[in-house]
Amino acid sequence: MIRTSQLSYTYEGGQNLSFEDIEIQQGVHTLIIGASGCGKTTLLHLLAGLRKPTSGSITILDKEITAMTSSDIDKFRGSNMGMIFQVPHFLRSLDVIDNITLAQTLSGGVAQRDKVKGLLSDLNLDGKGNKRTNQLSLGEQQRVAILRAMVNEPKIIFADEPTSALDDTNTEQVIELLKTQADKYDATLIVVTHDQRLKDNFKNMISL
Amino acid sequence: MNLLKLSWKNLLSKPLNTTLSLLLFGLGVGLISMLFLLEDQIQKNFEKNLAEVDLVIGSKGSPLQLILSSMYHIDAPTGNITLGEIRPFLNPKHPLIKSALPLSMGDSYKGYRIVGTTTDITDWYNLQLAQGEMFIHNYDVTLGASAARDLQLKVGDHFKSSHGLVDDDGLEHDETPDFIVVGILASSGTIVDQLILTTPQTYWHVHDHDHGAEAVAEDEQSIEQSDDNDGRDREGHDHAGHDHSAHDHDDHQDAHGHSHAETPKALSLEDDEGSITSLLLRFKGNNFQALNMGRSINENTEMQAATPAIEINRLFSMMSSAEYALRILAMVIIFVSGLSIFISLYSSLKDRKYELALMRVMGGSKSTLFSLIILEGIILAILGYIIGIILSHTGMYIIGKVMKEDYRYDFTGGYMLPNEWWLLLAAILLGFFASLLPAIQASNTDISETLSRG
Repeated sequence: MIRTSQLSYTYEGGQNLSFEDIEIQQGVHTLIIGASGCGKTTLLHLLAGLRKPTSGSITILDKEITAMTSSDIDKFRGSNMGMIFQVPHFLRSLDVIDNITLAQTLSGGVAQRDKVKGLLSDLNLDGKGNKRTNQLSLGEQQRVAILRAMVNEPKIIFADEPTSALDDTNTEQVIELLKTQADKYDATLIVVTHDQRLKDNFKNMISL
Repeated sequence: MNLLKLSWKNLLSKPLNTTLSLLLFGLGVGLISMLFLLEDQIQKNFEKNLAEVDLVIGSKGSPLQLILSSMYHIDAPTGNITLGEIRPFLNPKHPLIKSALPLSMGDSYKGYRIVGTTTDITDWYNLQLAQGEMFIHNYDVTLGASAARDLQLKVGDHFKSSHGLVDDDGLEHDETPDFIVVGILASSGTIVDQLILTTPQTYWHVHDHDHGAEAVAEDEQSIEQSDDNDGRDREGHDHAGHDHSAHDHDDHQDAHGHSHAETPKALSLEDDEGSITSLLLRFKGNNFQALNMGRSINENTEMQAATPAIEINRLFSMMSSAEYALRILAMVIIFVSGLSIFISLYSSLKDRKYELALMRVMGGSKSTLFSLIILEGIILAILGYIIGIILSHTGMYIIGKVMKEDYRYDFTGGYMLPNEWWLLLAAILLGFFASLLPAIQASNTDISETLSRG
């Protein structure tokens, strides 16, 4: 489902990163692990089409995203990929529901407020829909961010260091949540981290 | 969650910046729209009162004052001219003059100007009676529609005039008989709506009463006596069945009413000493001699002649330089408001960089971000425009009220000018250009870089 070939990226400063070819099958949750500064986030951004590689190609769901125009990639990403970051970020001027439905409309879909309310209650976020995101606890924010990443039922979920700020208990919970949500929507979960605690949770692991 | 709603929420989330931009924009637009409205209404008010007057003759002084007081009834009236001086112009057989309208001014009732003139005024301003009749006798008055409405006078009502044009009890002509309302005109949309019309001779009577109390008293007695006789003769016919004292009373009333209800002679038949304030003239065609008449009057007589077209143009050109200065001021305010929109959007970009990157992650394209920022600028401009229009039209409504009290002119804020729709277009363009640079900046946000920094 994800295939890279002779991928390399050159930073503005001239530093060059080359990546071994990667192949990830559909439905196989994968951990990409590596020390800080080894280019994990850069690889993630390349795979998500947020950066263009200097050379090489990336094929996702049989589409060569490295050959797409910028706005086609945006659209492709919006409907096929969900992204979760270490610290959840939201649009401050919007409430929780609007933040989630924004993901629906930006990817070209329609806002489904009722569906979103249902999903919120599935994640024990009843009654939080009309709150500002900064009124939620960090754990609640993390769940809203996961929900937002899932709302378009993407094929791939990218998670960038989702656990590095959490203690062991919370780490376990978040990873389990991510996996069950991914399974629920038939999505492939790809976690990029330096967090060694996650090694046991994934059968498929790529070390950088 | 569409873009429009999102831009709106973004604006709401920075209420201080948004309010400042809106106020500045509203002030600029309001000032410009106010100038449009004032210019339009002043011009309209001047145009509808031109009444095809070719020349105005009055006493020496400011020609503009003569025009303003005689045609628009806004400035103080000029001094008097005598019938002896203007008699040639009153001659209906004058080869150049089509018609002449005498005006006597200077008195008022509760701030409404009383004008002594002839019933020819109906032809000049296309007047129609709504009730009653035109003034025939001295002390008869026919009221303009607005004057009748605002003074709440109806046919048959009596009132006393006062000297001067301000409403002041101390200046009331106490000694004079009452004016009697004999008719009310239909609204004509001209200045006549605001006037109280009577005969020129009434003015002489009122002022004779005031100035030579004794002589007038004598005069009045003799008139009353002769009228008394008339009255008795008439009453004599149906003497029977009436109480004597009641008769006396009736007689007195009758006599009193009668003494002033004389039908005045045509002005051209009055003595040379009689005076009026000014004379409006219409020429037969536009021949060269007629054009020279004004110059000849100014050079050869103690009177002055003023051409409305020239004086009004002079007035407009004086106003236009003031208007130009105000317009520049409005432009500066609008420019600053545009700048404030620009600064507000531009400085918000730094705080919103991560949000913008997030929008890209969620499927928004560069053009989505561009549109978002442009929309914010345009929403600000349109709201600012609406605030400005509300300000100017409310202001105009208030000015209208004040102007009506001071000058008896109708101003209104109740309609939109074509220019104001152009102003909307200009406002939207300004909103667009003020947000253009921030929008470009937003669409070029390096998402990967921004996201990496968290």
